Amino acid sequence: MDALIEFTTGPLFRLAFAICLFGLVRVLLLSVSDIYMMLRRAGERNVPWGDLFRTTVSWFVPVKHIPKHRTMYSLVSILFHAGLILVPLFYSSHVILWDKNTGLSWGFWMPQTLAHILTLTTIGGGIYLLLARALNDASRHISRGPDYFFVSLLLVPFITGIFMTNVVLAANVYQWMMMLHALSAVLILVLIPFTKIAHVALFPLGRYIAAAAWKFPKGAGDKVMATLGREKMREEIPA
Amino acid sequence: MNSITPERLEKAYAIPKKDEVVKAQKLPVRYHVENGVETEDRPEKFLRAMAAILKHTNYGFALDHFSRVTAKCARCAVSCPIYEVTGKPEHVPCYRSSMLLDIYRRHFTLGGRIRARITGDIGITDEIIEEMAGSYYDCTACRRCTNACPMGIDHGLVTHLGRWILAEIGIVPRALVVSTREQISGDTHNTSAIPLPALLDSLEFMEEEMEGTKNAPVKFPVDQEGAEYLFVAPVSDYMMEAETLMGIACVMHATGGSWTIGTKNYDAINYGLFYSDQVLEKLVNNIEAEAKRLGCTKILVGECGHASRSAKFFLNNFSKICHMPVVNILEYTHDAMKAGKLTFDKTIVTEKVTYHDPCNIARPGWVVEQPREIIREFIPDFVEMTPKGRDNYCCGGGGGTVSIDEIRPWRTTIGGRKKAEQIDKTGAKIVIAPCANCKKQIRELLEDNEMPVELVGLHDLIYKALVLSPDGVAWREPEEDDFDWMGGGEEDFKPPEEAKA
Ligand code: SF4
Repeated sequence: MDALIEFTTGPLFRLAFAICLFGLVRVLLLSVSDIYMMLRRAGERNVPWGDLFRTTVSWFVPVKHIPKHRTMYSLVSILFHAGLILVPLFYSSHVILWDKNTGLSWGFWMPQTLAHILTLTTIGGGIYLLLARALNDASRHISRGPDYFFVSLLLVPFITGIFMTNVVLAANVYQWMMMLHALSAVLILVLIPFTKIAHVALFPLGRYIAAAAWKFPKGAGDKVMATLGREKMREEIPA
Repeated sequence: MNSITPERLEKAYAIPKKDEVVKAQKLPVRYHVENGVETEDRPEKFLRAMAAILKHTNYGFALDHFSRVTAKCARCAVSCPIYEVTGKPEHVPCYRSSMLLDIYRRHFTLGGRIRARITGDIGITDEIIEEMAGSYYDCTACRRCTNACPMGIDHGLVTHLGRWILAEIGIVPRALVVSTREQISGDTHNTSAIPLPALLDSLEFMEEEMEGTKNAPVKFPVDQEGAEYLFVAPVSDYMMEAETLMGIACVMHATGGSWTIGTKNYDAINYGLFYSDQVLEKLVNNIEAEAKRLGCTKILVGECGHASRSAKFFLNNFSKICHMPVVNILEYTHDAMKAGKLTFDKTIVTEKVTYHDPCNIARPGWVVEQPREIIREFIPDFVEMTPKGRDNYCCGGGGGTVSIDEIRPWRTTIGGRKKAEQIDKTGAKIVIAPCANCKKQIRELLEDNEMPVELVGLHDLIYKALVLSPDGVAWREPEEDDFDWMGGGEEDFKPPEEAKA
């Protein structure tokens, strides 16, 4: 078991991290090149970069957006995300792990108490988000399996983490929890670039993509008509 | 303000078509389509049309991104004026978009096709198409929900695309096509089929009218070669919104602006924006051609949201010749006021006034503050609606739906409900809406909800309050029969639909 844990938190973790990193760089580059392609094809390329940048940034610190719609849900979502990002990176054992595996050393780690609080808010938040998704008519109607699955999956390393750091809870199950903890983390890393979690990297691009998509290529309508084998527009044929 | 009774609701949702028609067309939607809509193999045809559009346009990139990041958080739901009133899950913006995004994923991506093999998902069906046909015209493409989406998904863009694909397989409201057909291949080249002599007549009448009320020789210049601005207004204004146009003419007079109306193309309306990029392109090209013909260097668009947006954001996009600045009349008037060229009589408009932001010019943050500054200049009792500006509520007639008369009960009971509540809350006696479409919708909204509020354009009030004559008097009461021509004139002009019938 120990060897397996060693392997998972060592080579396997490094592989998963590499897949995650390169996968994210890949989707990011592809999306940026998409924007470039769109603007190249379009007749007019004036994009309000400044305005888009301001709106995008405003969503990183979404104070002004929170009170407008689904306030509680939005607040919890921010707490949930805070733990998701901070604990894997800055919890003491993780800092050591990053250093050992990738040579990335932050030079500091977060206070244990903060890590515990964030872990609890993430778990509590995740459960709240799942319930709110299932109980709210609107979001239940638009949610599919993966929308529930990924949130649940993200909670696994946090729940197992609680078990491991608590002597009482960990008494008999430490190794099992450790295994589950490491495996789920590895699985998440691998899935990030290929699933909706890719929004960790793609999130800032949405508004640029939409703005570029509103720039229409010249003559596209005529080409569509030709591709569809029609000779005249409907509007050119008397009713 | 009337409440929403079960009877009103029933009417709003009712399909105003005979059962046989609905069955024959396989279209359980509230709007009429033209005869001859094909029903066979619709899913295949839809996919073919979608493939062709994705091939030649940029939409595929957006669909790809949107379907990758959509978090399904439903924050958009509570920002949509339709969902807020109906509370029906099918009116959640994200759900509406997901119909098309799912089709994209399933049929146009490798992962989707593989997944479909495994799960046996057949993808698009007749039922989904019917649902989209209804849904994409319930949405007014007002893009309010986009402000609420953390991921920046533009549901208005998806609706825009969905409508185009549907139009390519023959599903498009008759009201829209009838108008654009007249513009593209009719004799009059304008949506209301107003012949040139009638236009000239109405200009002459308005000039006489202004001579009387303003005591100044205000003109509507026609075919003036070399004028700086080509002026285009929604053509219906020449029949319905004379005061708006007279207000604009007075501003141009006061500023000594060099402008002209073109006789070959005097309609700013562009319903292509609402269902087909091909039509959109043809119509903006027509405006550009008219500007070129007359040697104008700028386009000045009258009080109209969608017309301003289609010219401003797509004229240079589709331009054949060169880039040309597009100016909305509110910008022009605002600049003139700032330059000290306009003098107002502040005692003319005394009632409490509120202002409605047309989505097409306010959502991008283009025309938001200018009208407010103008209003504050001469209207002492001005009150804002909440929310306003970029975050405003649609009037309920956006996306061309206002021209679909058969859905009026829907528009005035559901679509415009939020707007009616907003207006009601302000306690204003006058609501300003500087847009031909918003004007028609809000008028109907006020009427059907029995609200004693008057709807005007901003230039209607400017017309009254602007001081033009040397004696400093802004307004002389018009003679009793001055406006007879408007009522009498209407018989000459049949809407194109009837004219063709
Ligand atoms: S564009 Fe407007 S009407 Fe359409 S879904 Fe969004 S908020 Fe609702």
